[in-house]
Amino acid sequence: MLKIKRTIIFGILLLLVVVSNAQQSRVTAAYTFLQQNKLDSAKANIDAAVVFPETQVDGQAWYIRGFIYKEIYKSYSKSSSSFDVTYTPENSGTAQNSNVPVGWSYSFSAKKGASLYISAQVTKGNMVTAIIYVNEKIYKKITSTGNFVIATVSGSLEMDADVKYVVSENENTSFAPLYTRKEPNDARLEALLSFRKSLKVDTSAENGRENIKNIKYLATTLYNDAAASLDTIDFKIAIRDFDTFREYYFLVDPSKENFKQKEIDFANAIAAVYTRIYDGDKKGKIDFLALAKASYNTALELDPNNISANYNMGILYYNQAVNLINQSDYDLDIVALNDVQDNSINLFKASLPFMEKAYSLDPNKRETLLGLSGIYFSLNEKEKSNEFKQKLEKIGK
Amino acid sequence: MKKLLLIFVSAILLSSWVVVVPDQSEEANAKIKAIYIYNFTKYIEWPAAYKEGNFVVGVLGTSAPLVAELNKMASSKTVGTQKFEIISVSTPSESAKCHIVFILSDNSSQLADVLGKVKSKSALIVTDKSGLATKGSGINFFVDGNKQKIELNRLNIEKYKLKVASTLVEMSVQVK
Repeated sequence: MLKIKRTIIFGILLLLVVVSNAQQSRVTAAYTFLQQNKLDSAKANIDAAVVFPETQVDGQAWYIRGFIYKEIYKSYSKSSSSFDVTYTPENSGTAQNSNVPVGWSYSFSAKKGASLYISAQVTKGNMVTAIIYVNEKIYKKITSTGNFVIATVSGSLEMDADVKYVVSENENTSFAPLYTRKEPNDARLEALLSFRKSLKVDTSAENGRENIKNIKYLATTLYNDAAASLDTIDFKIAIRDFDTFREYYFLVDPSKENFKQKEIDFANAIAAVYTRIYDGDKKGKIDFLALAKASYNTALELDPNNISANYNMGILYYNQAVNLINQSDYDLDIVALNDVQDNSINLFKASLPFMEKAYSLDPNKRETLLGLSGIYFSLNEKEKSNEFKQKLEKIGK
Repeated sequence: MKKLLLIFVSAILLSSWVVVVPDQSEEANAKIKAIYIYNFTKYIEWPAAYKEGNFVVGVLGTSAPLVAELNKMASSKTVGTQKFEIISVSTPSESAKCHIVFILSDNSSQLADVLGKVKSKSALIVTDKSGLATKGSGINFFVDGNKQKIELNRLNIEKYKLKVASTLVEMSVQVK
């Protein structure tokens, strides 16, 4: 009985050694493939290795995994230059009042493995139908009633493809320049996760240094991608990238104070994007006005003396008040006109403290003087308005 | 990396200043006055002889935003079957051909001259300076609590054979 028991225990130990060796050999193989730049094989081996409980707590294995995914991300980034985009206007001048007529198309070639993200901003008109062709076959037909047409070809292309995007069935549509981009692949995130895991399971100084260095590099790429995506179409990507950047930045530098300026800059920048979206369609995109205000508030909570946030918040309220009046119909009766005036006065008054704050922080900024002059003029305080106008003229001299 | 971060920060700072102030305050003020003026044409009735031809609104003084706003109104609105015609009045004598004469605040001193030129006509005199409703104008714009309001002198309107609806009287500050 004792002999059987010993045999079982020995068997278990042997199995553990074999399994351990198996997972260790996979890590070794992954490393070898990495050195040979055979990234697909390196990835397959390291992914197979890290499922083992022993590897879960092996800082070195996670570091290698992070490195492999980092290299995959880098090779992916390099390949984006082969993502050839061409602008092909066709059939121009067939529609009235249209910058981009029916039949206008945009084509580009995409490489195997690429992900597609195609978007267009409708700057005029309310509806557009876009047809996406992949290799001369209709891939997708999208009708949009909003300001944007966005199409995503899910997954990645299984072959090199010529993609053509055609505007049809609408005669009063103008497009902002259409463009494509590849959705960032998951490799960067996987790399970051792996380096973080390695940091967690191996707290040695050397391991920490190497992991931090790589996290810093990848986080920087996220930061820059966020900046590059700060426009009216890709702003959600910008937010996502910045959020991820923030998450990993704190591993590199846990000081919230050091991160504050980046947070303020991003809040200001995304608020400016929201403002542009709202300005493009004041009725349809009214939600973006609130988002813009919320973002400027975020910046001001972090730094009440931020000139840009104060100024732009003032302008948001100011423009909202002016628009309220300018959008009124001439048919408005006097009672309703009184209501419009009441509401606009409240908005002008709301803009005033922000603009005054911006003025106190930089009394010689032309835009602020112009803003204050305009606000006081609208509040029918002509003397104060002239006071700022004169200051503006002095600066101009 | 530092270089990359700097590039990013400067891009953001630039974009956050992109929102420029369009100086629209004068336009907004002009819009309010244009809405009022259009309301006057709905609540005041001119004699039959004045219901033919164009409905002439003369502006005495210089205000490009106001003239632009009135022209915008003229392009989309009418007074009954009459089309609006917006003219710049350079001398008080030109007021005689107007249904409405709007004397801007800087030209308020010309009120008496204008009144002399229109006394045998049916014109609504609109002014834009405190106290002028007691000095001959029919309707005067004034500011109360940051708000543009109107004061109305019924006698100064009716003596030019114009009929003013009680609704407009009620919505105005009455001056005698």
